Amino acid sequence: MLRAVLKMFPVPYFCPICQRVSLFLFKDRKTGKTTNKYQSSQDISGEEEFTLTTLKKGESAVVKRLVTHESKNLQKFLAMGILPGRIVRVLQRYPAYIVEVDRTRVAMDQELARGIVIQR
Amino acid sequence: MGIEQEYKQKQCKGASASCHGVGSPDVTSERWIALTGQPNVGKSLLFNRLTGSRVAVSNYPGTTVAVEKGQFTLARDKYDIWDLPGMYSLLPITEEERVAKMALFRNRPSFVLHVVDARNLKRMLPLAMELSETGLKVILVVNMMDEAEKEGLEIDSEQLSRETGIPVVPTVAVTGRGLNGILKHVLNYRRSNHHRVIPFEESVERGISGIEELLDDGYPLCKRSLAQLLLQDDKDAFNMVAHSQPEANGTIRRIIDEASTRAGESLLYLMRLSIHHEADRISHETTTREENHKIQWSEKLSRLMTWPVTGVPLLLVVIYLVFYKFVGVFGAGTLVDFIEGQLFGQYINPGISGFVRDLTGVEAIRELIIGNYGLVTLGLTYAIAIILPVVGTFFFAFSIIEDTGYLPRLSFMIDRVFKKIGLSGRAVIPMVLGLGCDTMATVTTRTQETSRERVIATLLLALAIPCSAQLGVIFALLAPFPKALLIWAGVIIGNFLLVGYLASRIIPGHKPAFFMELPPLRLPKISNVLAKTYTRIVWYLKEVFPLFIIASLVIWLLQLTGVFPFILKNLEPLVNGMGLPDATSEVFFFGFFRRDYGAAGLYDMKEMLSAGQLTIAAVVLTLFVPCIAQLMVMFKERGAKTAVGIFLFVLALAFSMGWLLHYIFTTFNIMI
Repeated sequence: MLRAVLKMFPVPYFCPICQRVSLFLFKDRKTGKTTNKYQSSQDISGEEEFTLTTLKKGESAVVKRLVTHESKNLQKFLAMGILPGRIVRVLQRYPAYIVEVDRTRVAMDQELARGIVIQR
Repeated sequence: MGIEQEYKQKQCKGASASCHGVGSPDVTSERWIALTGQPNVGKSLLFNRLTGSRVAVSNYPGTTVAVEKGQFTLARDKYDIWDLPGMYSLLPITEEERVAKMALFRNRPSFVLHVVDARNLKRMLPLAMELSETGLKVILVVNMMDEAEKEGLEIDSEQLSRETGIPVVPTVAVTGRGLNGILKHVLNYRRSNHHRVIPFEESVERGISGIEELLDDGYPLCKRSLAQLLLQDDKDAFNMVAHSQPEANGTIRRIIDEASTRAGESLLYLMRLSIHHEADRISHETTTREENHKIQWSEKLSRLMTWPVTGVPLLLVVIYLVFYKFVGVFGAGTLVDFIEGQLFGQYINPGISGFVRDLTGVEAIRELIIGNYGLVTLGLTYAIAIILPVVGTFFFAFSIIEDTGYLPRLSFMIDRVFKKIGLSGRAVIPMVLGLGCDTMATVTTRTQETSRERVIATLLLALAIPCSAQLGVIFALLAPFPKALLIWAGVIIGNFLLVGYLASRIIPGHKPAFFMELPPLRLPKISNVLAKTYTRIVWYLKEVFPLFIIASLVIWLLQLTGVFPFILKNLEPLVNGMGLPDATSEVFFFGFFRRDYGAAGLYDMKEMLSAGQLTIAAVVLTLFVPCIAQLMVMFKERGAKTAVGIFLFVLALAFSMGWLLHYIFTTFNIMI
């Protein structure tokens, strides 16, 4: 019930990366799903989206979009070859994430991992 | 899916025209080569191969943080060659990336050897393409071919050269394979007829041509390339324009805004995607792979290192074996006993003493050379007999650890802890390096992303990270008293965490983000380990010797003039307050010159002190002021205000901790 209400209204969300209250990213705390209505022109439908953090250890998925609040973070993803269309695999989730793209392994914290939106 | 578009070839307009006439101010010869590439692809290894020098090479991103310069001779011509820090793209994320980028644009090398990792061509090509677009003469060095072959990858370098329009040389820098190919291209550089250009979406392309028309000639990079950087909101590019054509700034901004509105998305995002898609296409057409799914030993070991249940015990084992057993017990114990006790104590010092006594009767000169604080008895003995074995063993062990690729995995494991003190896992590497030498490590804090992280890292290095010489001597001193060692470690670690936590609360700024490439684990090569140990020891001695000699001279002068006893007298109350005897004021005075000097001084008077006093002295000396060299680096890297602030804070805290410990020991009557 509450979750349905949350989905309908733009609830301010405290962004862990930029430490600002953001209206653009709505997050369901329990599942780590994010919905983002304004970032991309292709996703105005407001479909439910999943971030990398919803993957279990060993699972892989195709990257759909990158959601970053700072251009630096976008550059980091791209420099490691994490971009839309690539397959990423989660090798480890704790104490931080290890993600494999092609032959590259990248360690990142949860905040950054949340910026990788995947197709399920 | 993806951005549909036709890929085109066109000439880079104005590249050669706009690039002429830009001199290379810092370079002595006309021929000079820059080594570029992403971090950890083997630039420094190639540099060493080409020049015969011994720049540090390790298995983690960010080993090189400053420009290293060298020379080599080819066909009777002298070439200057610069080893630049690694960079991921022309839009720098960290300080050392900017160092590399600005070195390229300010000095315009005659050639750029762009090194890429053959295993990860896909994500390394974008930078190569960007560099080629700037109008520089790029030679693409596809390195680590051996590892790629082992993984079943095959790269068609001819095809790659056609697709990118850049000459391509496959190499294995470790063995020297392909080195001649590079030199051949340097002697006879040929770019393919059609200069390849990265294609962008229509809206972006329109923006690019709009800006191109506005730009004057005379920029150090091709107009199209500069226009791209401007559209991607690169600060350095805007600075360049603001400097040469301040009047064009407004129009350029307007063009960018228009392009951005037309595109409907962040230009940076769109453009980066275009560049990467083009790189994907090229890499797809030039690489063939056979699936090779064998789990290697390195896989298993890597998992053990990063899984907390096994990773934490492994870390403790590494600390115990490397720092305690090898550096502390063997280096600072066995080796120092032998060199100081046997060699210096029985042969060298008595020999020189006898010689000097025969030579002159003047008391002042005798004092200068063989007195209590003499050049030989103090300067030489401390440097060679006490510091050298400790630092040598540490550098040796540390080189091995560096080359395996363990440090990035350690960063991963400790990230959560470091987040609490305002740092990210990335800061683990400067901290561990600090255990070798804090001066070196302070320079490495450049690899931290935000200035907040850099300040906190610098503070913690100055305060709570003992350098190897200190660490070794303290281990050797406290080894007979396990309880003292525990108290010392507890106080230092406690200070590290507490001060870090408070600093992260007080210093404003963004929360750090942790993001780091994990390179594959590799078996260390003994030749590289030895070369690196040797280079570091030479560097260390070069730094230590003059300072030790100067310290001896200064103390001798102060003693002649009677100032030295005066200073010591004034330090005594401070020292006595911590429950230490008068004589230890000398140790703290030495500590001002160098951390290890103080530690060595303490080692000299170990018989005079009780275990409790040793603990207090060890704690204060560890926390105590950074040495002169480190202080100078702090001034250079962080500015005078921050450096002075840190210096005063550290000084106050160190003595307060000494008093506090003494107070606790005496009140609760703790005996060790």
